[in-house]
Amino acid sequence: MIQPQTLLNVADNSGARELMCIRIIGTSNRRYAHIGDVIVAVIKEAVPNMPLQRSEVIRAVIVRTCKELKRDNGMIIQYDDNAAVVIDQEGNPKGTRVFGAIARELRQLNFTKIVSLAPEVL
Amino acid sequence: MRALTTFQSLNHSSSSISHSLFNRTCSPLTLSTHPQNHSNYKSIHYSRFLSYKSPISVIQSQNRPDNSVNEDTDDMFDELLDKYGKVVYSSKNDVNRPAAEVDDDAESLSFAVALAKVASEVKAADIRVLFVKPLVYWTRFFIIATAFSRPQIDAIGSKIRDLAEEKFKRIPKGDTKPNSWTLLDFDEELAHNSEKREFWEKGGSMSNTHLQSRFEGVAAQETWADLEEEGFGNQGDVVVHIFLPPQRAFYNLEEFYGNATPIELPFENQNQPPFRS
Repeated sequence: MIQPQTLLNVADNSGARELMCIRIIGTSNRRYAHIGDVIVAVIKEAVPNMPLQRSEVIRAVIVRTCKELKRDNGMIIQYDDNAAVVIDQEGNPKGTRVFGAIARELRQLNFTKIVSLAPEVL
Repeated sequence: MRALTTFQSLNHSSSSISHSLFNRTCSPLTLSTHPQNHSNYKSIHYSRFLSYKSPISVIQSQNRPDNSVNEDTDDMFDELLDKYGKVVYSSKNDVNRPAAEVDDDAESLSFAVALAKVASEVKAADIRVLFVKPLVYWTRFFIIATAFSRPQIDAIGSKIRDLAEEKFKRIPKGDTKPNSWTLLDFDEELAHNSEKREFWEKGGSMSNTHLQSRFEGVAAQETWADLEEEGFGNQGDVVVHIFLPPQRAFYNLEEFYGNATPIELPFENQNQPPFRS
């Protein structure tokens, strides 16, 4: 359940460390974003000497949420953190590798690029 | 999860090793809850091996100095599994699975090679076909190719789409517009599901020979829900990546999937770019 003002970790090596959600892309007046949703976010903390700077506005895909993700077969996936992967306007990831386990729902949502950079897919 | 890997009569020290190994992976994933349908242990081992090379494992080991496990322990774990471990099938269907999987692999291989051939006809350079099934469960083959301009990416993409639709009745997901990293995802699960749905919606008796041959072995009284329960077609199939040269070097997918088996292509591959700027 990601909403504006939520802080998220960054699950890639793009150079950002912490994001703050400022808008959910999609329908208007949407309250919460979940895994696989694109958000507009601002970089609150960044790694020095990397292309991404603090206070830059970027797009990101949510890959992990503390709110549990339910599947049709009854499986429930819940992570310990909220995390996102920084993407550009075309949908290509800004980083070259994704960290941590991600859910396979991302592939159904057309984020196969992120899935193919991930070390572990659940 | 159909096949469970179990341990028998493990002594105390070995069980503590396996425990620390599972802890180290730092994900909600263990052998018994792995969503993979692979019945052999090797595949799981390979996927773990891949994660050693990835940056995440480095970070995790830095975070957790207590669980510093090197590859020697991994080998030891393999040995123990060879000695005491065995594969248990939870249902009768699983026993027939390996043969069916080999068939599916061969089918996917011919599909992947056909796609690679089309790509080479449109002058894609440095085409690599990788068998990534032992590393990731969600697909079988990767095709990685380089194109030198966006119109060329468009050409390669549309040629591949046309061939897949005409000959294999498959429609890819992924990018529709030419992108610096264009990805075409031939998802077997989707293909199966749409075909199955089509088949059952028409009452299970249809004139389409392609579908009939695919579902020949399915008993007539089975319902759509029964088929879905069976869970066949869980595996993804072929994923095509078309890069511009800078993006190919940037993302460096070949290195990330360095442990995948490269497939020899039956045609002349243009390893070198045709011109240098």
